[in-house]
Amino acid sequence: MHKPILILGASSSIAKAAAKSFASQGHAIYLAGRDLLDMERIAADLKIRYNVEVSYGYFCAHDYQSHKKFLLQVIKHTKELEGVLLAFGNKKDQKKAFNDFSIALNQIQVNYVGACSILSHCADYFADKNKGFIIAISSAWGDICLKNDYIYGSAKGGLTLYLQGLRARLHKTGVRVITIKLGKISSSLFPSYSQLQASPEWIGSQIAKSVHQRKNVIFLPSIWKYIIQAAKLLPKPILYKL
Amino acid sequence: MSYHRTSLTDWGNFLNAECSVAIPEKNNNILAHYHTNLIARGLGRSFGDSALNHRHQVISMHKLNRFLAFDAQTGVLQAEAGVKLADIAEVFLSKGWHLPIVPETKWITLGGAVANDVHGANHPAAGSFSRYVLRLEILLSDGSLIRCSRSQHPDLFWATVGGLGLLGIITCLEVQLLPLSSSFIKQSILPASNLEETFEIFERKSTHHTYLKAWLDSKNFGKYHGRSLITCGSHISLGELPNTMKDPFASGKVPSHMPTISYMQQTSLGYAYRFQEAKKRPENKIIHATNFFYDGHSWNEGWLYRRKKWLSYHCVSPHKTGISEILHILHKERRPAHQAILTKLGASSDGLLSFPSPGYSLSLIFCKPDGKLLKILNHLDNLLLDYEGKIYLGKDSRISYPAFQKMYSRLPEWMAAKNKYDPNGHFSSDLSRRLRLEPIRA
Repeated sequence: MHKPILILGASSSIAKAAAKSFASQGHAIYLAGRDLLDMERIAADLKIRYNVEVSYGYFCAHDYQSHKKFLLQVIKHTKELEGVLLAFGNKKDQKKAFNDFSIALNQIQVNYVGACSILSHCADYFADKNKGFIIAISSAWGDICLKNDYIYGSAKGGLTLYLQGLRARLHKTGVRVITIKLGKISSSLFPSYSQLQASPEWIGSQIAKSVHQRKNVIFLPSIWKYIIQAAKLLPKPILYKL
Repeated sequence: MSYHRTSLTDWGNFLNAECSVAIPEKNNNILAHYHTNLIARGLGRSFGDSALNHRHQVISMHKLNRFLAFDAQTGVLQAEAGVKLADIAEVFLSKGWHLPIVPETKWITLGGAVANDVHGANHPAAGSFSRYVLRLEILLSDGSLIRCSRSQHPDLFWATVGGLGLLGIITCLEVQLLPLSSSFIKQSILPASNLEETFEIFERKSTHHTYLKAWLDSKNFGKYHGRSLITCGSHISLGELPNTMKDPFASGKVPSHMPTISYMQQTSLGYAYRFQEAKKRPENKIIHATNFFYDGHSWNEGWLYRRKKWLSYHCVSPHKTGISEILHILHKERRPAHQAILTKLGASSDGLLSFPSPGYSLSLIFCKPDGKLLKILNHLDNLLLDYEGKIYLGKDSRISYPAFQKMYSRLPEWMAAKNKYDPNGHFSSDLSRRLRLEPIRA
């Protein structure tokens, strides 16, 4: 039996798929999120499918004070963690966030501040152990901001840079920090044959695989790496029109 | 969760509907986005308009696919309605349990299996899907969640089974899995040179084999007309398993789709080859259950298939002559079915609109349906009525209301249930509008 993995924001479809992949590798899972009823169902499902230990607990990205206590409680419950996957985020109401600062603040708090807070505690824990991994889901739009979702993009961009710094800090220890930069996720009924977008299920399984790969910054689907690079080279007046 | 405008088709690409589709991922989301005139949809494998809703809402349930509880003593599985049958095969075959119903495809959800009351090649012995459903949890039009079973709200239970999702959304269900001696199946393929021989083999073999279905050579109009390959299969016990197979519950990987190869087998040349092979060497081998159940099924998943239009005609006739007459008419009209599968059905269930009833069932799939074909099929409907046969609603996209009314004798009881549980007609689909399965407004 492999050691447990903590999944933050477990109700999202990518997190669910990643939890399935980790469980199929034999890892025990600790689900953390706000929707306890939904997590109860996910936990029951993983237990039946893969015969692994699954527990869950309440976690709120806003409530920074509780993060340390939460992590201690998780470690006490699971005894030892192998890694953590940060999968929460908030991309709702982008247009409203331009004018309404309370919505913008909420997005920055969830996508950046909350992530930094819980990851700093996780980093301390793994640094003490000298092993483990931290996977965080950021966005390809964190590298370049367009007019439609720059608040989300800037928060995710902050997270990307934070992870870069964290990776540098933990470089000498055996802890890996992996940044997942998501491109487009398809939400359609039908399987899409486009290279530009991918289903949440595929992305989840790729995230679980990334632990065994050497890359630390991964674009999913990988074509977005080149799209973002190309977009950076575009003349700015053209970029502003996109 | 939000609604997206999407153009949906049935599995045969024959019908088209502009629907706004929602894909809930959490259970409470279904309630939050409640609208009128909606229909629940599974994986969309239905060859009919039962999961299409032109200019109205469709809720796709395939992401609510979680197992909730499993009792390893009794084999009772509680799961959400979006669970695929393929998932159940993958998870539970290796644990020594299986779902006794094996329909033509495993890419269907549990909710869809209940709503169509599906059956498999083992119908005479195993019955239809509803026999293994212990309890349903249904979201009704007034937003209430009702549990029903054979003893609790039996009228709702029997109207929902085979009720095409028109009474409410099935959110969660309890099914009975049966224990298995091993996950392997002894398969033999018998050739029959004409229809009489096929029926005779059916009569002779039905006591020995659990699974029995005939794959008719429908494209050949020459002297080979009516020949068939009959696949027989039965689960084997631990003792019969050869020593080389150590693990009786080895998990078989669900086969990936091989569109081109299986597509080739559908051609008349491919059929002739397999027929001659079966004649020379009667095939008798032990194969994994998933391979047995999937054989010849995955052909219609590939992209080659998805580019064309298909129309399905699935009927049951209590008399053998009904089947042979249908094939005779198609022969006379020179209209080949792309695929023709003959199975035997046993006693019918208590589902008010459920399809299986005693007799022989014939499942035909036609390529490139046109006006002439529809005319022929209307003629076949009249012929079926003479033989007291039935059309499978889950695969139908063209039957007329008068014919439907005559085929389903328990329709008034179903209408009473619809009036009681969905008096405002919240649940509707293209099929319900075509066949007037709508509440009678006072």
